[in-house]
Amino acid sequence: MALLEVIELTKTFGGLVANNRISFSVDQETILGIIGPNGSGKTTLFNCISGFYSTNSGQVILAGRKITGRAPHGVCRLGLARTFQIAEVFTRMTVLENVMVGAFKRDKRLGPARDMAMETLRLVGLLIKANEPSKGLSPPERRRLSLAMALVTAPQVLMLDEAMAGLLPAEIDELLNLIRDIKKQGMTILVIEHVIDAVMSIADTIMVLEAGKVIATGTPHEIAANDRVIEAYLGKGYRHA
Amino acid sequence: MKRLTSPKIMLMGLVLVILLLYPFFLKSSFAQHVMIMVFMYASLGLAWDVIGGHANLFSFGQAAFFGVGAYTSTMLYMKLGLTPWVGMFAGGGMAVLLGLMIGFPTSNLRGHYFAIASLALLVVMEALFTNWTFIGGAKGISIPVVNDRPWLDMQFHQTKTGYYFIIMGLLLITMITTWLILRSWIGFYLRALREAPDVAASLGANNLLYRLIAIAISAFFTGWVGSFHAQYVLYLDPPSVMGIDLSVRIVLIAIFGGSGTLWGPVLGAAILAPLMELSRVWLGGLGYGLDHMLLGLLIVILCLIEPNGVIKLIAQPVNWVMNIAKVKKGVLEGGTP
Amino acid sequence: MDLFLEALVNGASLGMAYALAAIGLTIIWGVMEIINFAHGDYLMLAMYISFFSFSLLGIHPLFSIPITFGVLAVLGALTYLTIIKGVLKSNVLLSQIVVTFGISIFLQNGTLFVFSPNFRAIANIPWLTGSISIGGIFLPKTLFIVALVSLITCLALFYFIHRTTTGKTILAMAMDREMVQLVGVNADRVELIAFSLGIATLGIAGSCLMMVTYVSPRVGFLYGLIAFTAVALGGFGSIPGTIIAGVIIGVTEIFTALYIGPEYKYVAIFVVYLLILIWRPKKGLLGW
Repeated sequence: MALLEVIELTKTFGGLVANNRISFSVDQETILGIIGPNGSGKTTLFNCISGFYSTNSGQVILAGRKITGRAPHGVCRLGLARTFQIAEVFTRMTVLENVMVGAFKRDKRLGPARDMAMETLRLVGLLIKANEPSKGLSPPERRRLSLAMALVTAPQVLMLDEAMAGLLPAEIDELLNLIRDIKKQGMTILVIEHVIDAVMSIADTIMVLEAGKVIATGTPHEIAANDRVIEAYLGKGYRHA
Repeated sequence: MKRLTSPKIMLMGLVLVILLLYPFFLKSSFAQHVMIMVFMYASLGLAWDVIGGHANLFSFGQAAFFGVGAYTSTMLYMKLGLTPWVGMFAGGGMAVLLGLMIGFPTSNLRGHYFAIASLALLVVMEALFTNWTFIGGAKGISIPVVNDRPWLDMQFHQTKTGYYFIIMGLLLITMITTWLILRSWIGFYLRALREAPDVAASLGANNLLYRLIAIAISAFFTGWVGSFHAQYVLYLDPPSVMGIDLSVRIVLIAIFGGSGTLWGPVLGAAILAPLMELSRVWLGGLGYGLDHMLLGLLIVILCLIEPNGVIKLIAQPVNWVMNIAKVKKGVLEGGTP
Repeated sequence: MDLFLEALVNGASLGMAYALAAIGLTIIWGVMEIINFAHGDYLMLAMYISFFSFSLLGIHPLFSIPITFGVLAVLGALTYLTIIKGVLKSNVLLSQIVVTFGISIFLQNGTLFVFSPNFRAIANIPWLTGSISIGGIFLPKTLFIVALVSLITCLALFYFIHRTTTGKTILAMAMDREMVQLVGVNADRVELIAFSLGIATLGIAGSCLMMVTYVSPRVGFLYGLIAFTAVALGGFGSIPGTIIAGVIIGVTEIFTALYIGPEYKYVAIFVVYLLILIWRPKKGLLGW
């Protein structure tokens, strides 16, 4: 059952068509990986879906409800959460307080919000750092924090924008396991990634963007063997068995 | 129970007791006036800080809320005989309305742009009020002196003690309300929206809504102090209740003391209000502005030494005192220091 | 129709004077992102210097321009070195706003103390009494000269910023401060020059405005506010924007005084500003 549907989404900036009639759907409890060269429109797509950009045409439907044209806070309330390419956190707050901001979407009271935040921190492995200032986190910890912040809003769909960027291989593995855990708990996830191995190992479906258009969709296996994708992005050295 | 006897609470309790007894020991009219000014400016500074310190909207237009509050309650009192106790709330309410009207069109503005827009708005409002004959225009309004029902009319003429306790009550309410709001989800959203508005929005925080809430809070607590002021001074005209001087003083007090904290504006008022009153009496009487000159100098010096406000300056010594108290207490209870 | 044109021309000339007062502000903002709330008060000081140069020393206001330019350049440099630099380093935004307020209060009241609150003006400026006639439209000679000086100054500033090395460095700093430091430029020195230049232009503006209006300690506040409005309207950091905005403001003032009533002329300026802000709030007309 398709939880998220994107239909003919188009976004232009002046003369540049950043997203060109993009259509796809994501089933519940699956992971969609979105890959493609820089400038192909991946983050723009996220921004359109999550309400940060207005679209020129097209529709986005979440669990049967139209979310196109809504403001970001409205999109969040309808069940879609995202992280940003540059992991931004509220540096003047503690780790716990950061997550509480998201928790308030579910319950406005301090007590329950704190509990939900603690629970989510435990899930991402940051519980021991709960009362530390978020300023002092290392980059992978910061990633996990922004993941926690989005997660605590109990979304139906979670969108992660280049969550693996700049991480060491061991850190990537940790994060992949975490994402798998989250998926097991019923989450639907979209991931934009450049770390190909990571996204290939975790995605159920991969969608490839180039110059604003979808040029291929399929299982990781199919995509790795797709000539056009290899030429546009993966490089000839990449032929997955 | 432990929290109730912590050194911080005990200190606050001590201060409260002192303040309650103050007007009975220092009976001079001037001494009471100074404290009334301190309470007044502390309330105004706190109200400003809700939008200035937490929502990042530097408003130089607070005087507009103050003036609207003053005029509303006064007009209701003069024309309908409505007691200022209710008029105060009406004044606050009108200020909120004004704030909402201003908040919508300026919702895109940040930082310096908002500051200048608020300045422009204030100038416009003062000019409009000056030309509005219904409320007395430039001549202002003199509230008739009434002696027989001091509490109902909020006019006290034997001593200022009545005024003292009223404004102290207003301040306490403002402090408690602001504290409660800022530690609640509203405070979290405001701080989040200030720091990283995109992230906050993606987590469900509605920028416009919370901005308006912050403005409404600030407007109300400024407006009702305006009503109080009208009853205290028994005269109002646009320059005195809607002038730019007032707005600037409020901003300075909040920032001088330390914006973004609960005690900062209070501290700022505690230091600057007596200074302003004293220097006005000693130096300002000459009409040459020496008192303001000193104020200006003081501000510049402070900004250079401790830009985060006096509260940061005294944070160290205060912590030291607290720690000493804790240690002493620990020893008294038989623990190891 | 003649009256309309006359109001237009007078308004535009006055607007040029306002633009001149505002231009220093926009330069300082562009480079340092600080709003000097004491801006108008430096202008006021320049006006006093020019006034007393004439009444005590007999120096014609036009010739006091170099004097006020020089004195204010020095004042600007001193202000930067002693106060502004320190506050910028601390990086606390509120403090940066407030410190210039402190300076403003100090200057206004200091002037009040030294010179008393009396209004002063020069009734008849040699060579510039009366009006000139441009095709039937009358423009006071003083206003004409002021507009001319303002135009020349703006052009000179434009040339300086875009054609000289120092000017281009200032422009570069306004765009990307870090880059400029990375290529070996002493950012502090550039800031010093920019700030001093910004205040120095007020020297020129002061001598000019002194010919057109009266002088008093509080006058700085009004013109300062108009200058902020011009800069915010035209967009912080844009010289052409400031000029256009200045002209809009001047025209609005004259038209309001003429068709609605002189007591509303300043109110109208701010109302127009607010209306434009609502319609195009983001960065003013041309700003960045």
